[in-house]
Amino acid sequence: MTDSADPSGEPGIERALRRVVLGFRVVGATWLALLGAVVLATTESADPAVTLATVVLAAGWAAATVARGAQPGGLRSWWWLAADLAVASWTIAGPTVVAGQRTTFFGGFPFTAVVLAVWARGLTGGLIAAGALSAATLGRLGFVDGDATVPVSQAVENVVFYVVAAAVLAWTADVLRRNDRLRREAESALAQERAERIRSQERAETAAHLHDSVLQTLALIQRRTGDPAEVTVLARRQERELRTWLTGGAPAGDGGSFAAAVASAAEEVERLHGVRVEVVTVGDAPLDEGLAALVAAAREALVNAARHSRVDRVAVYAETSEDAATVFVRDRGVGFDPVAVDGDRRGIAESITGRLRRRGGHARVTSAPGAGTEVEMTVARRAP
Amino acid sequence: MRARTKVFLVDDHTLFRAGIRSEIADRVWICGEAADVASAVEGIRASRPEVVLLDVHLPDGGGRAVIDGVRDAEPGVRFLALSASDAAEDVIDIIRAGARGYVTKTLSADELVDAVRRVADGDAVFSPKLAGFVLDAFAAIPVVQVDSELAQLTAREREVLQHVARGYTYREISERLFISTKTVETHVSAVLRKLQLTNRHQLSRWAAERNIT
Repeated sequence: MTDSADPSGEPGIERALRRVVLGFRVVGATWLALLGAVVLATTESADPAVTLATVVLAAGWAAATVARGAQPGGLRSWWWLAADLAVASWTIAGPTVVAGQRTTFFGGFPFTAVVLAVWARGLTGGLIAAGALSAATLGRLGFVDGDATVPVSQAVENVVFYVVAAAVLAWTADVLRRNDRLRREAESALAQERAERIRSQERAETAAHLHDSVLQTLALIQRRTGDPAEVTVLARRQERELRTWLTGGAPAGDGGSFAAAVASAAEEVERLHGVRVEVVTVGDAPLDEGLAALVAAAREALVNAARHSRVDRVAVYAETSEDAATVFVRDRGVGFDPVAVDGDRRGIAESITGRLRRRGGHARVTSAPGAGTEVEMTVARRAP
Repeated sequence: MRARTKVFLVDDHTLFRAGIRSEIADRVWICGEAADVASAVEGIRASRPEVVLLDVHLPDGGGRAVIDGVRDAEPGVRFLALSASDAAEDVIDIIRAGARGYVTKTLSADELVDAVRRVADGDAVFSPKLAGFVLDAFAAIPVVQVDSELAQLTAREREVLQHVARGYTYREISERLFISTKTVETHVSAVLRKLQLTNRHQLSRWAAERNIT
C-alpha cells in the first residue's frame, strides 16, 4: 500500500520535500523584497536601480523555481544548481560589488539555495552551496568602503550558519528518506505475505474439497464397476456438486432460495430412484411457506414420474415471476388415463393438489397412455 | 437419404473429442477437429464445414474467438455451441456472437446428430437449458428500459420457449399449440435474432445481476 507513489514514480517523501523547498524559496524571495523596500525607503546611500533589479531578479527566480519545480526532476540538475547559486550570490554581493552599497538586504534568500542544494544533491550539494555563498559573503567585504569590523563579524556568522545548516539539513533529509523507505519496504513485505497466505489458504481449501468430494466419489465408482446404473448416478451427483462448488453457489440443500431448493429436491430424487432429472430454472426468490409447499409438491411429482413412467429421464422446469411460481414436471413415459386412475395414483395426485390448495395454489396433470405425463404446479406469490 | 452433414469439432478435451467422434462419426462426416482457437480458425477456413461443434470454454478466448475469427471469411459456416458449463452469461455470450444453438454435453448421440442436422438446415437449436437462460435474460430487462420490440419477447415466443424449457420437442410443441413445426422454428429463430440484436447494455445488466446472486 504505497499511498506515496505518484504516476511519475516519485516517492511521496520526495514530493513532500520538494514542496518544502519551493515554500522556502517563496518565503525567502518575499523576505528579500520586503528588506529591499525598506532599504529603498530609508537608506540614502542605496542605489535604487541596483536594489530594484536585485528584488526583481530574486522574485523572478523564485517564480522560475516554482514553475520548474512542478516536475519532479526539474530542479535536480547541476547546471540549475549552479544558476541558483549564482543568483543567491548576487543577492549577497551584487549591490556591493556593482554600486558599492554598504547595506545588505538578502535576508533568508541565500539560505533557500542551501535548502534546495541539499534536497537536490544531498550533503555534497549542501556543502558546495555553503561554500559558494561563503565565498560571496567574504568576497563582498573587499568592496565595502571604510570600517569593516561590523560587516566582518556578520559575515563570519553567516558563513558558519551556511555550513552548519547544510550539514543539519542533509542529516534531516537523510533520516526522513530512510524512514520512508523502511516503512514502504515493511508495507510491501506485509502485503506480499498476506497475498501468499491467502493463496495457500485457497490451495488448502481446494485440496480439502477435492479430497472430500471428487476423490471419494472416484473411489466409490471403482468399487461399483459392476453396477453401471449406480456408477452413472454417482457421476451425475458428483458433477452436480462440483459444478455448484465451482460457480461459487451454496451447496444445494442449504435452502434459502427457491431455485436451489428445486435443484436439491431433483438431486435427491435422482439419487434415491436412479433417474436423470434435468432441471431448468428461470428467476429465483427466497424460500417462503408457499414456495416450500411448491417444492414439496414438485418433489412428489418427481417421485411419481420416477416410479411409474418407466423412463429414466424427467424434466423439471421452474419459473418464478413477481406474481406466481410455477413448476412443470414432465416425463416421456408410459402415461396414463387421468379419468381411470387407480386409487394409489389418485392419492398421490391429491397429496400434490391438496398441499398446494392450502397455500392458494393449484396443480394440473396432463397425461394420456403412451404420451408421457406432465404435472403443472403453481402457487401465487405474496408481495414481499 | 440426405448427404452426411460436414462437421468440424472444436474442444480442448481430447477424450471428449474422441468420445463424440466414436458416437456420431457413422452419421455425420467429421472433416476435422481442433483443440484451440488458432488451429480451429485455420482448420475451419481450410475445410469449410457446414456445422462447427464448438466448446464454449477454450483456452485463449473461448468459443467466441473462433466465431469472430471465422464469421467474416466464411459466413456460410454455422456454429452449434456445446458445453459442460452451466454459466448462463457464457452461453448467452456465444449465442450473441453468432452460434445457432446451444446443447449440453450430456445430450445423447441421437439428439446431438439431430441438433447438428437442424443447425445445418438453418434452424436454431435450443436445449431446455438455453431456453431457460434466454427466458431469464429477457425477463430481467426492465419494461421501462425497453427501447424497441427487439428487447422483448412476444407472448407466443415466450410460450414456445417455455415449452422448450419444459423438455418438449419442436414437433410436440407444434401439436400442443396447433401450429406447424416450421412455425415453431420460425419463433425460435426470431428469439435467436432478438438475442443477437438486443442492446448489449440491457443484457450486460442482466449478466451483472446474475454475478451478484
